[in-house]
Amino acid sequence: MTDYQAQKRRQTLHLRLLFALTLLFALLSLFLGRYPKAGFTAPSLFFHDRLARTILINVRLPRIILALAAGAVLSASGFTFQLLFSNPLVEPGFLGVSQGAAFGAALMIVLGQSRVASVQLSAMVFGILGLIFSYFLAQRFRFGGSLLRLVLAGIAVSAFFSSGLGVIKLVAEPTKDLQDITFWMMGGLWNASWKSIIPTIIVTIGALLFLYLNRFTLNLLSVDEKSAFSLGLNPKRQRIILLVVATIGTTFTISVTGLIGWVGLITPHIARKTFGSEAKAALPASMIMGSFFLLLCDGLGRTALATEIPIGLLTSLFGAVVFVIILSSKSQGGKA
Amino acid sequence: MTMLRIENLSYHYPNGVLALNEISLAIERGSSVAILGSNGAGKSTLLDHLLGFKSSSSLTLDGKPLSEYGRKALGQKIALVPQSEQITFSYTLLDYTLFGRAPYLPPMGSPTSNDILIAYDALAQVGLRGFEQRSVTALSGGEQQLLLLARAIAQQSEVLLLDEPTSSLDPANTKRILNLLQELHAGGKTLIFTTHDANFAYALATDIALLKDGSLIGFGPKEKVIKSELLTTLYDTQLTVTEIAGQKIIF
Amino acid sequence: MKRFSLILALVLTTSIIFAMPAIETPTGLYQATDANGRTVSLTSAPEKILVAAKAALMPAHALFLFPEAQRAEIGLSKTDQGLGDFFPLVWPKITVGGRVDQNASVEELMTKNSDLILLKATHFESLGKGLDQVSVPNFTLSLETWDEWKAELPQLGKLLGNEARANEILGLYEDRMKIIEERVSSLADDQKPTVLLLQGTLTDNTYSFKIAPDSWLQTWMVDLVGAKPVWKGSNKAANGWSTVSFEQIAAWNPEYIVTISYNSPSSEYRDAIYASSLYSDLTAVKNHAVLASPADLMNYIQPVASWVLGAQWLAKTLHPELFSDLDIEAQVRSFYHDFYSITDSAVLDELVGYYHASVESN
Repeated sequence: MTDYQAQKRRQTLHLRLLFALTLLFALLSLFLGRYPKAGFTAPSLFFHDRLARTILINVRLPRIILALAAGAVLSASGFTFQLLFSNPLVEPGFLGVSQGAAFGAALMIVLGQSRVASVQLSAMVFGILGLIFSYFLAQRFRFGGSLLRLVLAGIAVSAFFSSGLGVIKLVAEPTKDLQDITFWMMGGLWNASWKSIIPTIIVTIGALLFLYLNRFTLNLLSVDEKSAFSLGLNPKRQRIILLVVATIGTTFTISVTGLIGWVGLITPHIARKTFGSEAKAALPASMIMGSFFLLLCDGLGRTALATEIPIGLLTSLFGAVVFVIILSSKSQGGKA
Repeated sequence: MTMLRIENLSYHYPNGVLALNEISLAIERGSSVAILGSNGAGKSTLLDHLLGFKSSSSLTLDGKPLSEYGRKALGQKIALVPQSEQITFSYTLLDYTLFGRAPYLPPMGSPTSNDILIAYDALAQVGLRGFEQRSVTALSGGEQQLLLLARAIAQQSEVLLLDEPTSSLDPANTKRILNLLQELHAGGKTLIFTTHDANFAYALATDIALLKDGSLIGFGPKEKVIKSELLTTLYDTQLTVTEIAGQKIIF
Repeated sequence: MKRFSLILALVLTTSIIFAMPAIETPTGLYQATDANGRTVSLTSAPEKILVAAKAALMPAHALFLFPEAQRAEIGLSKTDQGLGDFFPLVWPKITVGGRVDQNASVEELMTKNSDLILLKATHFESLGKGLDQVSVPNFTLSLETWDEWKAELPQLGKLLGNEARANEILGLYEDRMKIIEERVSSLADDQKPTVLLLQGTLTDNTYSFKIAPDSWLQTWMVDLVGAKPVWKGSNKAANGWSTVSFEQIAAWNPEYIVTISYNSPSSEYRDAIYASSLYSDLTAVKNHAVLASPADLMNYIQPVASWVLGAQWLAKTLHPELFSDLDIEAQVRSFYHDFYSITDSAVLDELVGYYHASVESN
């Protein structure tokens, strides 16, 4: 067996350990909450308190599953975007996807359509539109290389949707509607119930599976387009497909949880630092770490105070701190 | 036996400027062809066409139009060694070389142990044995060129396209690459490379194509083509071909 | 900005700064200090009054307690929270002045040529200052707590030249409150039921609930009526309604749950709780003690003038034996008669009808 294979074996083992650790943490999270008091719920309680059982099965469990799924898909999307744009500092929020999704959701609320799937659908549509606008706008730019153009176009589109959101906030009623918009801007998993998470779980697993199966291709697409072509790829088409899948996964999640940022930026970084850049190990690592991170933040958000702390706030807080640490300790001339 | 044939290839840049003007070329299997010309002559554009990256009905490979080959099928026949690559992520050398096995992998597949061995061999062949676990971001310019060559070797293709393989290298590395490429040619690979270094072209090629402002002003075996008058025309500079100690020198 | 002592401090320290752009007129009959501590003076009784910007409902509601308002030409921005528009029902001639957009700018407001513009104190920065600079008289009101009502209503009265009416109104409030306070004062602590006020939100077929900040009128009201607001202490720092999870609601497990919605019928949220299998184990659900909050065209549990009706309803609901003589429908009728001088029995009937509909299925 070659050194390489030995290393891959080790990485697989580490991945399995990481996965097991996350599952363990998920299990422990089932015993964390506000009932009957803040903090840990004694397991014995579940035997004689029916309400505790109900909470465990119908409140905590779906919420934990949502946190795991959302964390994984946000992280995988970030990872995908970073490889596809050869830029370790991008995430869906950099190409107008997240802002478009939030804008779409807010628009529906202000138009009085805050029921049913209209909000989710609108978020998904505008998120994808954000990506499409960024892509076509980049074609029109005459400044910088193709990747820089895309990032610049993304910045323009993000700004456009953000200001659109600002306009919506201005027009919205100061009492109820605006509060809901705040939810979209800062995110929260408290609406998770078995019924509400099923569509999200399905889409998420689909997106994750697709990205996972194509992880070797992701590596190749991080390389020059011409080289990727010479290696037998169809770079333009494959890039678009992967982008769309990652975007759908992201916008679908955001349309249910509100805007959760930083996960797509931070956990892929940490995954690459510990598992190397090769997507075969780094992508699954990224997914698992994303799940863990979001589970951690949500655990904190639903237990620390009587009122819910929006999860986007916590991911930003931890994300920004980790971001500073990563940037400050960059070695090897700034490579990821 | 003709492997690659180009028939009256013309190409305009998006802004309308003519890049290639009615190029016709026939490249034999097993030959080593240099595309010689100054910067802006259209060498890279011609190479893009040979790669299939810019598609045209004017090119055929083994009698079949290039555009009709499937992506992976073409990848198994033609490999590219680019001039350089922007590498953002710190892959290991072996990871990077393994990318060369992509044309042989099933749609959602990953490299097998056989692929891994091929990659190891490729790295050994270019002299990077022992460096497999090093990060690609830590390589010098010359080492990166060797790596890109290793990746192309791992691709196990008949044809090797090289874009200015030694333009940014010092004499030591240039010699290294030259020797490697000569080895590969001797082993049966068809080489097609662009360069503006006439000496390098002469050392490595069997046939040379002279490209000036998008037009082919000469093509054939190197002895016939490397002549002072042709080279002077090519570079718009007085150049002389001299022979010193059995070696042709051009300057 | 919501505390009486802070207003006092503001008056002392900022009156110098803000007196400058204010209209320089000799102290006359129509002068008062607003919620941001500015002294506003008018040379004569205002005849064209504009109640502008968002949350115009609250200042408008206060304005109409004064007969002067009914004699003036009034312009309003949007006052319909979602349950219907109170003002056209009661004073149809309001439409003469016309409506103004909630987001109207200073320039736009100027075009209305008003003698006086009333604003919520939160719009001081965005509109009040700008209006000062173009010498358009404007007056802010906060009115978020009972203390603020006591402080600000007389000031508004002064501005309109009828401070006596303001004191009369405060007296009417105090009369109603006194009855409540006296009767619940005899309650021991363990006789006070635990209550949870929840504002409902419907997002994508899922219901979630929010609690009010500790310092708000809603929380205070529960204390007033001899009950224990279970969420008090959990939302100190907040400046808005904050989401609570079902777990937290279950942990509190209050004896009574009162659902609130400001722009849709509160009964919807009450019904949702009863229909939910998740909530079925809660004490309030088992005892059928989940109630929709009362409303006519505005919900009573918010700092609009009719908040006192909310308090009366809550007191009677929680302590039926102490308030058996309190007829809420009669109280609604007398409220609109005494406070707003509405004598048209058809209008009164309609208002009582709305109230009745809001709580009848409790």
